[in-house]
Amino acid sequence: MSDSARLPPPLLGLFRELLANGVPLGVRDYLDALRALQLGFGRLDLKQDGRQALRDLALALWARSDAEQRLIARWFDLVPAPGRALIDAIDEALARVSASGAGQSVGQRQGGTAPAGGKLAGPASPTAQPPPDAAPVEESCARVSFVGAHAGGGLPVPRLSVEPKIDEHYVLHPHTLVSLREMTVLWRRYRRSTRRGPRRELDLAATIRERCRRGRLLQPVCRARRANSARLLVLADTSASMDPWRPFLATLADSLRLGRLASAELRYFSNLPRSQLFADVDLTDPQARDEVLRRHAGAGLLVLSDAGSARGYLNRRRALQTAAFLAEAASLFPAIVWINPMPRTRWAGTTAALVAAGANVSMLPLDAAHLLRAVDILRGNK
Amino acid sequence: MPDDSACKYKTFFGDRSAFYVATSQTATIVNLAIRLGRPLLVEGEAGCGKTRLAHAIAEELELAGSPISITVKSTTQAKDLLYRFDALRRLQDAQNPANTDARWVYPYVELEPLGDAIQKGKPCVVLIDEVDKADIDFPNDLLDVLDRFEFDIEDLPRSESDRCAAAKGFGRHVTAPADGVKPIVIITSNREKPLPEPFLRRCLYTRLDFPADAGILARIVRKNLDARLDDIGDALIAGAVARFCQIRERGRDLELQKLPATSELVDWVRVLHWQSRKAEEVSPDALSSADQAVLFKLHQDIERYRARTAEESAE
Repeated sequence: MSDSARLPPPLLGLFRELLANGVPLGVRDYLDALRALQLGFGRLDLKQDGRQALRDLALALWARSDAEQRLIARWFDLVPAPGRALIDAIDEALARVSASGAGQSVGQRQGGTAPAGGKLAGPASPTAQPPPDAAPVEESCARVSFVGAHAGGGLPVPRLSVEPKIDEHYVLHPHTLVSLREMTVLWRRYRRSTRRGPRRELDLAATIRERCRRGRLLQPVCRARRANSARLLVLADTSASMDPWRPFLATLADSLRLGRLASAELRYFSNLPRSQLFADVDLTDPQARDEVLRRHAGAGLLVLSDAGSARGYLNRRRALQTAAFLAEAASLFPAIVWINPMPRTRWAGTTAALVAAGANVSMLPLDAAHLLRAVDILRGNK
Repeated sequence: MPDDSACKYKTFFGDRSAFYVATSQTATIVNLAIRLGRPLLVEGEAGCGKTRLAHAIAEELELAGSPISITVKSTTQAKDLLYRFDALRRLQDAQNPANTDARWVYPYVELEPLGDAIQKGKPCVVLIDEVDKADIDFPNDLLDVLDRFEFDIEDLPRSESDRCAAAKGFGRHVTAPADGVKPIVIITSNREKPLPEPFLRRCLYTRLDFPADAGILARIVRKNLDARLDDIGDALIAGAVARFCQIRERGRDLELQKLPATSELVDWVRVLHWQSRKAEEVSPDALSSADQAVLFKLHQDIERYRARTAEESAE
């Protein structure tokens, strides 16, 4: 591999750091950076403005979100800015090495200098270590540049030029259980496509048939458009034990609007759906439970609750009431799925285990794969 | 600035158009997108000049007839950007036995703006405005087109490909001519819906922020008003910009839903000029109803702002 096909160390290290942090960069992003450098973007000398240009280039090429921008900003703050003297010394050393091949073998014997050189390419992150196949060229550069330090040449040791600021440089990745987009795509899978409404779409086959039968066409034959007729009622528990999943419930509420279902309604309850359901998370807008259930009869029913498994005890009254609710719901809803966000191992000995064992309802844990399965069940594939 | 004589586009500087001032960072990213042949996704709060960036690029690079702008609606499909097959007209023509056109599909296929730009291969700017308004499948359907700048006309039977190429200059598979250039594709988004990751990866990304520097703001206002009004005073602009920054700052404290941005500032200066008021007469604490109407877009924002200023004056 020639040097022109390789990114300079700061960008190469950054590229690896981003990959290690799960940013989906590809070969094309790498090649684009090379091409941009060849075209003269992000000038390569490591002067202060050169770093700035390099950083801007990296931001433009690889950052798509605030989190990614912070990762890149942190990288450039952590990579020590070498002093002028160091750069001159490195240049000089490199020039000497390229003049005589002997210098490189000297450098390779001095294994102890590697950590300081490694710092330049990948600070503070074991994941950013270069893989073995890419190592030789970079190592030879780094080692040569620090030969002088060990020989007592007085080269300055690179160190952080600025202290990282705490508020900006913790890169926090929110790991949502399921993203809004994934949820929306999920609801798109919950579909029962039927032709409904006014006749607006041209029915080509019927039109041609008509034309053939009469010999001429008076007017095109139209038919109703296909639309999703799947309906969904979601009942979500907002008692204190469900607090950790409030963000998920919010995502769910948002996604239902984008899901293009024929009708989708989200109602809340506390612990178990008693005689009233609520239209808002704070349980201030009550509606009669039976009325809501009747209105949605025939739709899919999705229940989101830990069914006592968060606290981990069995309440006899609660279990009976839950069973009574499910029995009533089963007469109105063809498919019922109960999503229990607690892990399966915690269900035993609580109402959750009783519900899961029941015939009317499937209880599933909360993750992307099981949500997909839930949609499958709601569609009728039990 | 990078120089690349092989590229058929000139370099974008950001401040040479008659009405637009782009920061040097934005200009660099635009140049990067042009040289790498990647679409540029522009985000930013409403009214900060996302759409006008495309116009500014077209003007600076002297691309005639550009930008070709496509405003995305909730019903837009990716196909609509590339070509249109007029089935109804064909059906109508088929009624007439004398009209032999209707035997073929190709007379009823027309290229739409993006498809046309790809096929012609001439330098131009294509603006896909408000991509987040479309359905969630839309960006995914565009992936391949934006990646390779070629596409298939699926409604055109393969057997008619050659015939169509002879008559219209494009076959079933539309691609740029050998010496053609990729169009500059600018895509704007308000982040109403999240865009899929693969789509983001194919674009270069920039976010236009509200300029923090009063000097740049004044330049933007001056550029936008020069074309229409020539007797507008520097004092008015400077005073209005300073007050506008205060109002915006206060709005940020109040967490208004829609903060006034550059376009509101330009409108406001124009209003002040028409009413021949001086900037010194305007106090952020007591905005007239005309000022409020220009600066704020939501009733609740106006109410909140008014409540705060009333509170402060009471103290």
